[in-house]
Amino acid sequence: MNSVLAVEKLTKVFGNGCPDCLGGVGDGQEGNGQEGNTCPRCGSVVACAGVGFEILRGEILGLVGESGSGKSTVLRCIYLDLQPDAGCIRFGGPPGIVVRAGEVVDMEVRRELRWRRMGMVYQDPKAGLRLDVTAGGNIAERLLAADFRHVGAMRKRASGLLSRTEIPLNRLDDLPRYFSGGMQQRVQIAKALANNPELLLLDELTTGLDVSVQAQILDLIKSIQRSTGVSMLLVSHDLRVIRMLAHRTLVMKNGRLVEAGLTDQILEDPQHPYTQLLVNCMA
Amino acid sequence: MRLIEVRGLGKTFCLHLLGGKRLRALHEVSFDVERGEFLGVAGRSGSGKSTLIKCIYRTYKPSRGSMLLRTPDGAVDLASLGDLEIIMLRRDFMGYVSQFLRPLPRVTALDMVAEPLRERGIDDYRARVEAEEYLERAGLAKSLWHSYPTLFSGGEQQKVNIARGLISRPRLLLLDEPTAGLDYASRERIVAMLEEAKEMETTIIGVFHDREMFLRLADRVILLEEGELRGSASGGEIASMEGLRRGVGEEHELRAACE
Repeated sequence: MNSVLAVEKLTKVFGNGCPDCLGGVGDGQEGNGQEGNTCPRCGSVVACAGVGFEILRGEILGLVGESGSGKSTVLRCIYLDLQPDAGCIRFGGPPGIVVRAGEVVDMEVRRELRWRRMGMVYQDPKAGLRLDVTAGGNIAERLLAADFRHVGAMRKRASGLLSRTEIPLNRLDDLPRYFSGGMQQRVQIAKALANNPELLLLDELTTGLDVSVQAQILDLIKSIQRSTGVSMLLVSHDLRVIRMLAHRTLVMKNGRLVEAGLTDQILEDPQHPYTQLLVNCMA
Repeated sequence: MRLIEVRGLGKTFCLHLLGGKRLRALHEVSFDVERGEFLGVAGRSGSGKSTLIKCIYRTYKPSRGSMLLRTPDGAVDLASLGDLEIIMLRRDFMGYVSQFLRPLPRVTALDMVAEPLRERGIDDYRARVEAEEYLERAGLAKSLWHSYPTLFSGGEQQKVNIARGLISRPRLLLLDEPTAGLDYASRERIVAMLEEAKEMETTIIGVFHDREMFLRLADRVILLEEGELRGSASGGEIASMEGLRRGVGEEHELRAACE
Protein backbone atom coordinates (compact mmCIF):
# COMPACT_ATOMS: atom_id res chain seq x y z
CA MET A 1 0.00 0.00 0.00
CA ASN A 2 0.95 3.56 -0.55
CA SER A 3 2.48 4.83 2.65
CA VAL A 4 3.12 8.51 3.40
CA LEU A 5 4.48 8.12 6.90
CA ALA A 6 5.58 5.20 9.06
CA VAL A 7 6.57 5.69 12.69
CA GLU A 8 8.32 2.90 14.58
CA LYS A 9 8.95 2.57 18.30
CA LEU A 10 9.07 6.30 18.79
CA THR A 11 10.27 7.20 22.27
CA LYS A 12 10.90 10.59 23.85
CA VAL A 13 11.86 11.20 27.47
CA PHE A 14 12.09 14.69 28.92
CA GLY A 15 14.68 14.87 31.70
CA ASN A 16 17.89 13.01 32.37
CA GLY A 17 16.35 9.60 32.02
CA CYS A 18 17.50 6.38 33.66
CA PRO A 19 17.32 2.66 32.79
CA ASP A 20 14.09 2.33 34.77
CA CYS A 21 12.15 5.08 32.98
CA LEU A 22 10.32 2.99 30.41
CA GLY A 23 9.59 0.10 32.74
CA GLY A 24 8.40 2.34 35.53
CA VAL A 25 5.57 4.05 33.71
CA GLY A 26 2.61 2.83 31.69
CA ASP A 27 -1.10 2.82 31.24
CA GLY A 28 -1.69 0.79 34.42
CA GLN A 29 -3.91 -1.69 32.63
CA GLU A 30 -2.14 -4.79 33.85
CA GLY A 31 -2.57 -3.63 37.42
CA ASN A 32 1.20 -3.56 37.84
CA GLY A 33 1.19 -0.17 39.47
CA GLN A 34 2.72 1.47 36.41
CA GLU A 35 0.52 4.52 36.49
CA GLY A 36 1.41 7.92 35.13
CA ASN A 37 4.29 8.97 32.93
CA THR A 38 6.79 10.24 35.47
CA CYS A 39 9.66 7.86 36.23
CA PRO A 40 9.47 6.90 39.94
CA ARG A 41 13.27 6.75 40.19
CA CYS A 42 14.66 9.75 38.35
CA GLY A 43 11.57 11.89 37.85
CA SER A 44 11.93 12.18 34.08
CA VAL A 45 8.77 12.44 32.04
CA VAL A 46 8.18 9.73 29.45
CA ALA A 47 6.26 11.71 26.83
CA CYS A 48 5.95 8.84 24.40
CA ALA A 49 7.22 5.28 24.42
CA GLY A 50 7.27 2.66 21.69
CA VAL A 51 4.72 4.46 19.54
CA GLY A 52 4.26 2.99 16.04
CA PHE A 53 1.76 3.56 13.23
CA GLU A 54 1.46 4.21 9.53
CA ILE A 55 -0.49 6.73 7.43
CA LEU A 56 -1.55 5.92 3.90
CA ARG A 57 -1.95 8.31 1.01
CA GLY A 58 -5.26 10.15 1.26
CA GLU A 59 -5.92 8.95 4.78
CA ILE A 60 -6.92 11.03 7.79
CA LEU A 61 -5.59 9.43 10.96
CA GLY A 62 -6.91 10.68 14.30
CA LEU A 63 -4.79 10.74 17.45
CA VAL A 64 -6.69 11.22 20.70
CA GLY A 65 -5.87 11.25 24.38
CA GLU A 66 -6.01 13.57 27.37
CA SER A 67 -3.66 16.51 27.88
CA GLY A 68 -0.20 15.20 28.66
CA SER A 69 -0.72 11.84 26.99
CA GLY A 70 2.05 12.56 24.47
CA LYS A 71 0.02 13.42 21.37
CA SER A 72 1.78 16.67 20.62
CA THR A 73 5.19 15.15 21.34
CA VAL A 74 4.57 12.55 18.64
CA LEU A 75 3.52 15.30 16.26
CA ARG A 76 6.54 17.48 17.04
CA CYS A 77 8.93 14.55 16.57
CA ILE A 78 7.43 13.92 13.14
CA TYR A 79 7.77 17.58 12.17
CA LEU A 80 11.39 17.43 13.39
CA ASP A 81 10.75 20.06 16.04
CA LEU A 82 11.91 17.51 18.60
CA GLN A 83 14.60 14.83 18.50
CA PRO A 84 13.30 11.42 19.56
CA ASP A 85 15.39 9.29 21.95
CA ALA A 86 14.60 6.05 20.17
CA GLY A 87 12.78 4.77 17.14
CA CYS A 88 12.59 5.94 13.57
CA ILE A 89 10.30 7.83 11.22
CA ARG A 90 10.00 7.02 7.54
CA PHE A 91 8.61 9.54 5.09
CA GLY A 92 7.19 8.08 1.89
CA GLY A 93 8.57 4.96 0.32
CA PRO A 94 9.81 2.44 1.24
CA PRO A 95 12.65 3.17 1.02
CA GLY A 96 11.61 6.83 1.39
CA ILE A 97 13.49 9.18 3.70
CA VAL A 98 14.26 7.65 7.09
CA VAL A 99 15.02 9.75 10.16
CA ARG A 100 16.50 7.75 13.04
CA ALA A 101 16.84 8.72 16.66
CA GLY A 102 20.36 9.84 17.49
CA GLU A 103 21.29 10.66 13.89
CA VAL A 104 21.72 14.24 12.81
CA VAL A 105 19.31 15.17 10.06
CA ASP A 106 21.04 16.70 7.08
CA MET A 107 19.97 20.33 6.51
CA GLU A 108 18.87 19.63 2.96
CA VAL A 109 16.76 16.66 4.08
CA ARG A 110 15.30 18.67 6.90
CA ARG A 111 14.31 21.40 4.48
CA GLU A 112 12.79 18.91 2.06
CA LEU A 113 10.70 17.34 4.82
CA ARG A 114 9.58 20.44 6.68
CA TRP A 115 9.08 22.77 3.75
CA ARG A 116 7.91 20.48 1.00
CA ARG A 117 6.55 17.17 2.19
CA MET A 118 4.80 18.35 5.34
CA GLY A 119 2.63 21.20 6.49
CA MET A 120 2.00 21.89 10.16
CA VAL A 121 -0.90 23.68 11.81
CA TYR A 122 -0.13 24.42 15.45
CA GLN A 123 -2.71 24.74 18.18
CA ASP A 124 -1.33 28.20 18.91
CA PRO A 125 -1.32 30.40 15.79
CA LYS A 126 1.67 32.27 17.24
CA ALA A 127 3.77 29.14 16.77
CA GLY A 128 2.85 28.74 13.11
CA LEU A 129 2.55 32.34 11.94
CA ARG A 130 4.65 35.46 12.05
CA LEU A 131 1.99 37.73 13.45
CA ASP A 132 3.78 40.89 12.35
CA VAL A 133 4.28 39.81 8.76
CA THR A 134 1.29 40.16 6.43
CA ALA A 135 -0.92 37.16 5.72
CA GLY A 136 0.41 37.13 2.16
CA GLY A 137 3.98 37.41 3.45
CA ASN A 138 3.49 34.41 5.72
CA ILE A 139 2.48 32.33 2.75
CA ALA A 140 5.25 33.75 0.55
CA GLU A 141 7.77 32.62 3.13
CA ARG A 142 6.87 29.01 2.41
CA LEU A 143 6.62 29.57 -1.32
CA LEU A 144 10.16 30.99 -1.36
CA ALA A 145 11.33 27.82 0.31
CA ALA A 146 9.76 25.90 -2.56
CA ASP A 147 11.74 27.99 -5.06
CA PHE A 148 8.96 30.31 -6.14
CA ARG A 149 10.84 33.43 -7.24
CA HIS A 150 8.35 35.50 -9.17
CA VAL A 151 6.53 37.98 -6.93
CA GLY A 152 3.43 38.07 -9.14
CA ALA A 153 3.18 34.29 -9.16
CA MET A 154 3.58 34.20 -5.40
CA ARG A 155 0.85 36.78 -4.87
CA LYS A 156 -1.43 34.85 -7.16
CA ARG A 157 -0.80 31.60 -5.32
CA ALA A 158 -1.25 33.34 -1.94
CA SER A 159 -4.59 34.86 -2.96
CA GLY A 160 -5.72 31.49 -4.27
CA LEU A 161 -4.90 29.86 -0.95
CA LEU A 162 -6.57 32.59 1.08
CA SER A 163 -9.77 32.45 -0.93
CA ARG A 164 -9.67 28.67 -0.58
CA THR A 165 -9.54 29.10 3.19
CA GLU A 166 -12.22 31.81 3.08
CA ILE A 167 -10.08 34.78 4.06
CA PRO A 168 -11.30 37.95 2.31
CA LEU A 169 -8.70 38.92 -0.30
CA ASN A 170 -8.56 42.52 0.89
CA ARG A 171 -6.88 41.18 4.05
CA LEU A 172 -3.92 39.76 2.07
CA ASP A 173 -1.71 42.67 3.15
CA ASP A 174 -2.96 42.87 6.75
CA LEU A 175 -1.13 41.55 9.78
CA PRO A 176 -2.46 38.31 11.30
CA ARG A 177 -1.96 39.92 14.72
CA TYR A 178 -5.19 41.80 14.12
CA PHE A 179 -7.13 38.74 12.87
CA SER A 180 -9.64 36.78 14.94
CA GLY A 181 -8.60 33.37 16.27
CA GLY A 182 -10.55 31.54 13.58
CA MET A 183 -9.02 33.67 10.84
CA GLN A 184 -5.51 33.16 12.20
CA GLN A 185 -6.13 29.43 12.13
CA ARG A 186 -7.27 29.64 8.52
CA VAL A 187 -4.17 31.61 7.52
CA GLN A 188 -2.10 28.91 9.20
CA ILE A 189 -3.92 26.29 7.15
CA ALA A 190 -3.34 28.30 3.96
CA LYS A 191 0.35 28.59 4.84
CA ALA A 192 0.64 24.89 5.59
CA LEU A 193 -0.95 24.08 2.24
CA ALA A 194 1.22 26.49 0.26
CA ASN A 195 3.64 23.89 -1.06
CA ASN A 196 1.09 21.15 -1.74
CA PRO A 197 2.43 18.93 1.05
CA GLU A 198 1.61 15.23 1.04
CA LEU A 199 1.12 15.20 4.81
CA LEU A 200 -0.65 17.78 6.92
CA LEU A 201 -0.08 17.72 10.68
CA LEU A 202 -2.93 19.29 12.63
CA ASP A 203 -2.59 19.94 16.36
CA GLU A 204 -5.89 20.67 18.15
CA LEU A 205 -6.88 22.97 15.35
CA THR A 206 -10.32 23.86 16.66
CA THR A 207 -9.53 24.15 20.35
CA GLY A 208 -10.52 27.51 21.74
CA LEU A 209 -12.64 28.51 18.75
CA ASP A 210 -16.37 29.02 19.09
CA VAL A 211 -18.66 26.33 17.77
CA SER A 212 -19.71 27.97 14.50
CA VAL A 213 -16.08 28.76 13.63
CA GLN A 214 -15.13 25.18 14.55
CA ALA A 215 -17.70 23.90 12.05
CA GLN A 216 -16.25 26.16 9.35
CA ILE A 217 -12.71 24.92 9.98
CA LEU A 218 -13.76 21.27 10.01
CA ASP A 219 -15.67 21.69 6.78
CA LEU A 220 -12.65 23.42 5.28
CA ILE A 221 -10.37 20.55 6.28
CA LYS A 222 -12.77 18.02 4.80
CA SER A 223 -13.08 19.84 1.51
CA ILE A 224 -9.29 20.29 1.28
CA GLN A 225 -8.83 16.59 1.85
CA ARG A 226 -11.42 15.81 -0.78
CA SER A 227 -9.95 18.04 -3.45
CA THR A 228 -6.23 17.52 -2.83
CA GLY A 229 -6.11 14.00 -1.37
CA VAL A 230 -3.52 15.16 1.18
CA SER A 231 -2.96 12.77 4.11
CA MET A 232 -3.49 14.16 7.59
CA LEU A 233 -2.50 13.36 11.13
CA LEU A 234 -5.16 14.97 13.27
CA VAL A 235 -4.38 15.40 16.95
CA SER A 236 -7.36 16.28 19.09
CA HIS A 237 -8.89 15.59 22.46
CA ASP A 238 -12.31 16.31 20.95
CA LEU A 239 -13.89 13.06 19.82
CA ARG A 240 -16.55 14.89 17.80
CA VAL A 241 -13.82 16.30 15.59
CA ILE A 242 -12.30 12.84 15.22
CA ARG A 243 -15.67 11.30 14.38
CA MET A 244 -16.25 13.82 11.63
CA LEU A 245 -12.86 13.59 9.98
CA ALA A 246 -10.75 10.55 10.78
CA HIS A 247 -10.87 7.19 8.96
CA ARG A 248 -8.83 5.47 11.67
CA THR A 249 -8.00 6.57 15.18
CA LEU A 250 -5.18 5.98 17.67
CA VAL A 251 -5.67 6.41 21.41
CA MET A 252 -2.77 7.44 23.67
CA LYS A 253 -2.42 7.39 27.41
CA ASN A 254 0.70 8.11 29.46
CA GLY A 255 2.82 8.13 26.33
CA ARG A 256 1.63 4.71 25.17
CA LEU A 257 -0.59 3.76 22.30
CA VAL A 258 -3.38 1.88 24.07
CA GLU A 259 -5.76 1.28 21.18
CA ALA A 260 -5.96 1.66 17.41
CA GLY A 261 -8.88 0.98 15.13
CA LEU A 262 -11.50 2.18 12.69
CA THR A 263 -12.93 5.43 14.04
CA ASP A 264 -16.47 4.09 14.31
CA GLN A 265 -15.17 1.00 16.11
CA ILE A 266 -13.15 3.09 18.57
CA LEU A 267 -16.22 5.20 19.32
CA GLU A 268 -18.88 2.47 19.41
CA ASP A 269 -16.94 -0.55 20.62
CA PRO A 270 -13.92 0.75 22.54
CA GLN A 271 -11.81 -2.06 24.00
CA HIS A 272 -9.34 -0.43 26.39
CA PRO A 273 -10.63 0.84 29.76
CA TYR A 274 -9.23 4.29 29.05
CA THR A 275 -10.93 4.50 25.63
CA GLN A 276 -14.20 3.44 27.23
CA LEU A 277 -13.82 6.23 29.76
CA LEU A 278 -13.00 8.73 27.02
CA VAL A 279 -16.00 7.74 24.90
CA ASN A 280 -18.33 7.79 27.89
CA CYS A 281 -17.26 11.30 28.73
CA MET A 282 -18.27 12.43 25.26
CA ALA A 283 -21.91 11.42 25.62
CA MET B 1 -22.64 -19.37 -4.86
CA ARG B 2 -22.16 -18.21 -1.30
CA LEU B 3 -21.07 -14.66 -0.63
CA ILE B 4 -20.73 -14.89 3.15
CA GLU B 5 -20.29 -17.76 5.57
CA VAL B 6 -20.72 -16.78 9.21
CA ARG B 7 -19.52 -19.41 11.66
CA GLY B 8 -19.74 -19.40 15.44
CA LEU B 9 -19.97 -15.62 15.62
CA GLY B 10 -19.94 -14.29 19.16
CA LYS B 11 -19.81 -10.82 20.64
CA THR B 12 -19.36 -10.03 24.30
CA PHE B 13 -18.92 -6.49 25.53
CA CYS B 14 -16.61 -5.97 28.50
CA LEU B 15 -17.60 -2.84 30.41
CA HIS B 16 -14.49 -1.75 32.25
CA LEU B 17 -16.26 1.20 33.84
CA LEU B 18 -18.65 -1.20 35.55
CA GLY B 19 -15.93 -3.32 37.07
CA GLY B 20 -15.42 -5.47 34.00
CA LYS B 21 -19.06 -6.48 33.67
CA ARG B 22 -19.60 -8.71 30.64
CA LEU B 23 -22.61 -8.45 28.33
CA ARG B 24 -23.23 -11.26 25.89
CA ALA B 25 -24.83 -9.83 22.75
CA LEU B 26 -24.27 -12.66 20.24
CA HIS B 27 -23.51 -16.31 20.83
CA GLU B 28 -22.53 -19.03 18.34
CA VAL B 29 -24.37 -17.54 15.38
CA SER B 30 -23.82 -19.36 12.08
CA PHE B 31 -25.49 -18.82 8.71
CA ASP B 32 -24.75 -18.40 5.01
CA VAL B 33 -25.85 -15.78 2.54
CA GLU B 34 -25.98 -16.54 -1.18
CA ARG B 35 -24.87 -14.01 -3.74
CA GLY B 36 -27.83 -11.82 -4.68
CA GLU B 37 -29.91 -13.04 -1.76
CA PHE B 38 -31.96 -10.77 0.52
CA LEU B 39 -31.60 -12.11 4.04
CA GLY B 40 -33.94 -10.64 6.64
CA VAL B 41 -32.92 -10.55 10.30
CA ALA B 42 -35.82 -10.59 12.74
CA GLY B 43 -36.06 -10.49 16.51
CA ARG B 44 -37.24 -8.33 19.39
CA SER B 45 -35.42 -5.21 20.51
CA GLY B 46 -32.23 -6.29 22.26
CA SER B 47 -32.05 -9.68 20.55
CA GLY B 48 -28.75 -8.83 18.84
CA LYS B 49 -29.91 -7.82 15.35
CA SER B 50 -28.01 -4.55 15.19
CA THR B 51 -25.00 -6.15 16.87
CA LEU B 52 -24.91 -8.72 14.08
CA ILE B 53 -25.02 -6.04 11.37
CA LYS B 54 -22.37 -3.98 13.13
CA CYS B 55 -20.10 -7.00 13.53
CA ILE B 56 -20.26 -7.65 9.79
CA TYR B 57 -19.53 -3.98 9.02
CA ARG B 58 -16.82 -4.17 11.71
CA THR B 59 -18.09 -1.22 13.71
CA TYR B 60 -18.01 -3.87 16.42
CA LYS B 61 -15.05 -6.17 16.90
CA PRO B 62 -16.35 -9.74 16.95
CA SER B 63 -15.19 -11.68 20.03
CA ARG B 64 -15.33 -15.14 18.44
CA GLY B 65 -15.97 -16.90 15.19
CA SER B 66 -15.38 -16.09 11.55
CA MET B 67 -17.15 -14.32 8.70
CA LEU B 68 -15.81 -15.49 5.38
CA LEU B 69 -16.56 -13.05 2.57
CA ARG B 70 -15.92 -13.85 -1.11
CA THR B 71 -14.80 -10.69 -2.85
CA PRO B 72 -13.63 -10.36 -6.46
CA ASP B 73 -10.08 -10.30 -5.05
CA GLY B 74 -10.47 -13.55 -3.14
CA ALA B 75 -11.93 -14.72 0.15
CA VAL B 76 -11.30 -12.77 3.37
CA ASP B 77 -12.34 -13.27 6.98
CA LEU B 78 -14.13 -10.09 8.03
CA ALA B 79 -13.65 -11.00 11.68
CA SER B 80 -9.87 -10.74 11.51
CA LEU B 81 -9.29 -8.50 8.48
CA GLY B 82 -7.03 -5.48 9.03
CA ASP B 83 -8.51 -2.01 9.48
CA LEU B 84 -7.08 -0.69 6.22
CA GLU B 85 -8.59 -3.56 4.24
CA ILE B 86 -11.94 -2.92 5.93
CA ILE B 87 -11.75 0.72 4.84
CA MET B 88 -11.19 -0.41 1.24
CA LEU B 89 -14.06 -2.91 1.43
CA ARG B 90 -16.37 -0.22 2.78
CA ARG B 91 -15.43 2.06 -0.05
CA ASP B 92 -15.67 -0.47 -2.86
CA PHE B 93 -17.83 -3.38 -1.79
CA MET B 94 -19.86 -3.07 1.39
CA GLY B 95 -22.43 -0.46 2.36
CA TYR B 96 -24.33 0.21 5.57
CA VAL B 97 -27.52 2.16 6.13
CA SER B 98 -28.57 2.66 9.71
CA GLN B 99 -31.64 4.21 11.22
CA PHE B 100 -29.85 7.47 11.75
CA LEU B 101 -27.94 9.88 9.60
CA ARG B 102 -24.91 11.55 11.12
CA PRO B 103 -25.15 14.94 9.48
CA LEU B 104 -22.01 17.04 9.27
CA PRO B 105 -22.24 20.74 9.95
CA ARG B 106 -22.15 22.88 6.80
CA VAL B 107 -22.31 19.94 4.40
CA THR B 108 -25.36 20.03 2.10
CA ALA B 109 -27.62 17.05 1.47
CA LEU B 110 -26.33 16.83 -2.09
CA ASP B 111 -22.68 16.77 -0.97
CA MET B 112 -23.38 14.14 1.68
CA VAL B 113 -24.91 11.87 -0.94
CA ALA B 114 -22.17 12.55 -3.51
CA GLU B 115 -19.36 11.83 -1.05
CA PRO B 116 -19.17 8.02 -1.38
CA LEU B 117 -18.69 8.46 -5.14
CA ARG B 118 -16.03 11.13 -4.69
CA GLU B 119 -14.20 8.81 -2.32
CA ARG B 120 -14.05 6.31 -5.13
CA GLY B 121 -12.38 8.95 -7.26
CA ILE B 122 -15.39 9.82 -9.43
CA ASP B 123 -15.24 13.41 -10.60
CA ASP B 124 -17.24 16.08 -8.84
CA TYR B 125 -19.65 16.79 -11.65
CA ARG B 126 -20.68 13.20 -12.21
CA ALA B 127 -20.94 12.55 -8.48
CA ARG B 128 -23.34 15.49 -8.14
CA VAL B 129 -25.47 14.46 -11.08
CA GLU B 130 -25.87 10.98 -9.65
CA ALA B 131 -26.53 12.38 -6.18
CA GLU B 132 -29.38 14.43 -7.61
CA GLU B 133 -30.84 11.33 -9.18
CA TYR B 134 -30.68 9.36 -5.93
CA LEU B 135 -32.15 12.20 -3.86
CA GLU B 136 -34.95 12.48 -6.39
CA ARG B 137 -35.68 8.78 -6.13
CA ALA B 138 -35.49 8.80 -2.34
CA GLY B 139 -38.12 11.54 -2.51
CA LEU B 140 -36.32 14.42 -0.84
CA ALA B 141 -37.90 17.74 -1.83
CA LYS B 142 -35.72 19.57 -4.34
CA SER B 143 -35.76 22.70 -2.20
CA LEU B 144 -33.74 20.81 0.44
CA TRP B 145 -30.95 19.50 -1.75
CA HIS B 146 -28.72 22.47 -1.12
CA SER B 147 -29.44 22.93 2.56
CA TYR B 148 -27.96 21.28 5.60
CA PRO B 149 -29.35 17.97 6.89
CA THR B 150 -28.51 19.07 10.45
CA LEU B 151 -31.74 21.09 10.16
CA PHE B 152 -33.88 18.32 8.59
CA SER B 153 -36.65 16.30 10.16
CA GLY B 154 -35.97 12.65 11.00
CA GLY B 155 -37.74 11.43 7.87
CA GLU B 156 -35.87 13.84 5.60
CA GLN B 157 -32.55 12.83 7.14
CA GLN B 158 -33.43 9.22 6.55
CA LYS B 159 -33.98 9.88 2.84
CA VAL B 160 -30.51 11.43 2.62
CA ASN B 161 -29.16 8.42 4.49
CA ILE B 162 -30.70 5.92 2.08
CA ALA B 163 -29.55 7.83 -0.99
CA ARG B 164 -26.03 8.00 0.47
CA GLY B 165 -26.05 4.28 1.24
CA LEU B 166 -27.25 3.17 -2.19
CA ILE B 167 -25.47 5.59 -4.50
CA SER B 168 -22.22 3.64 -4.61
CA ARG B 169 -24.14 0.45 -5.49
CA PRO B 170 -22.41 -1.75 -2.91
CA ARG B 171 -22.30 -5.46 -3.70
CA LEU B 172 -23.12 -6.20 -0.08
CA LEU B 173 -25.66 -3.93 1.56
CA LEU B 174 -26.28 -3.96 5.31
CA LEU B 175 -29.52 -2.37 6.46
CA ASP B 176 -30.51 -1.57 10.04
CA GLU B 177 -34.15 -0.54 9.98
CA PRO B 178 -33.81 1.91 7.13
CA THR B 179 -37.56 2.47 6.90
CA ALA B 180 -38.22 3.09 10.60
CA GLY B 181 -40.18 6.27 11.18
CA LEU B 182 -41.05 6.92 7.54
CA ASP B 183 -44.58 7.60 6.33
CA TYR B 184 -46.28 5.22 3.88
CA ALA B 185 -45.36 7.02 0.65
CA SER B 186 -41.72 7.51 1.67
CA ARG B 187 -41.46 3.91 2.68
CA GLU B 188 -42.78 2.76 -0.69
CA ARG B 189 -40.06 4.73 -2.43
CA ILE B 190 -37.39 3.08 -0.30
CA VAL B 191 -38.88 -0.36 -0.97
CA ALA B 192 -38.73 0.36 -4.70
CA MET B 193 -35.07 1.37 -4.40
CA LEU B 194 -34.27 -1.79 -2.46
CA GLU B 195 -36.12 -3.93 -4.99
CA GLU B 196 -34.08 -2.39 -7.74
CA ALA B 197 -30.86 -3.05 -5.81
CA LYS B 198 -31.98 -6.64 -5.53
CA GLU B 199 -32.51 -6.86 -9.27
CA MET B 200 -28.94 -5.69 -9.72
CA GLU B 201 -27.80 -8.78 -7.80
CA THR B 202 -26.93 -6.85 -4.66
CA THR B 203 -26.64 -9.13 -1.65
CA ILE B 204 -28.61 -7.60 1.20
CA ILE B 205 -28.76 -8.35 4.91
CA GLY B 206 -31.54 -6.32 6.47
CA VAL B 207 -32.94 -5.78 9.95
CA PHE B 208 -36.57 -4.69 10.07
CA HIS B 209 -39.25 -4.50 12.68
CA ASP B 210 -42.05 -4.56 10.17
CA ARG B 211 -43.26 -8.02 9.19
CA GLU B 212 -44.54 -6.72 5.89
CA MET B 213 -41.03 -5.73 4.83
CA PHE B 214 -39.82 -9.29 5.29
CA LEU B 215 -42.74 -10.64 3.26
CA ARG B 216 -42.15 -8.22 0.43
CA LEU B 217 -38.38 -8.19 0.24
CA ALA B 218 -36.71 -11.15 1.93
CA ASP B 219 -35.81 -14.43 0.26
CA ARG B 220 -35.06 -15.87 3.67
CA VAL B 221 -35.42 -14.69 7.27
CA ILE B 222 -33.37 -15.66 10.31
CA LEU B 223 -34.63 -15.06 13.81
CA LEU B 224 -32.49 -13.98 16.75
CA GLU B 225 -33.43 -14.36 20.39
CA GLU B 226 -31.16 -13.30 23.23
CA GLY B 227 -28.22 -13.23 20.87
CA GLU B 228 -28.75 -16.75 19.54
CA LEU B 229 -30.06 -17.96 16.21
CA ARG B 230 -33.48 -19.49 16.88
CA GLY B 231 -34.96 -20.12 13.49
CA SER B 232 -34.89 -19.65 9.76
CA ALA B 233 -37.54 -19.63 7.05
CA SER B 234 -37.51 -19.00 3.36
CA GLY B 235 -39.99 -18.19 0.59
CA GLY B 236 -43.57 -19.05 1.43
CA GLU B 237 -42.67 -20.23 4.95
CA ILE B 238 -41.78 -16.70 6.01
CA ALA B 239 -45.44 -15.70 6.34
CA SER B 240 -46.13 -18.41 8.88
CA MET B 241 -42.82 -18.11 10.73
CA GLU B 242 -43.75 -18.34 14.38
CA GLY B 243 -41.10 -16.13 15.97
CA LEU B 244 -41.46 -13.52 13.28
CA ARG B 245 -44.95 -12.75 14.54
CA ARG B 246 -43.69 -12.53 18.09
CA GLY B 247 -40.62 -10.59 17.14
CA VAL B 248 -42.55 -7.90 15.38
CA GLY B 249 -45.47 -7.82 17.78
CA GLU B 250 -44.97 -4.18 18.65
CA GLU B 251 -45.41 -3.17 15.05
CA HIS B 252 -48.66 -5.12 14.76
CA GLU B 253 -50.08 -3.59 17.88
CA LEU B 254 -49.08 -0.17 16.67
CA ARG B 255 -50.76 -0.64 13.34
CA ALA B 256 -53.89 -2.03 15.00
CA ALA B 257 -53.97 1.00 17.24
CA CYS B 258 -53.71 3.32 14.26
CA GLU B 259 -56.50 1.59 12.40
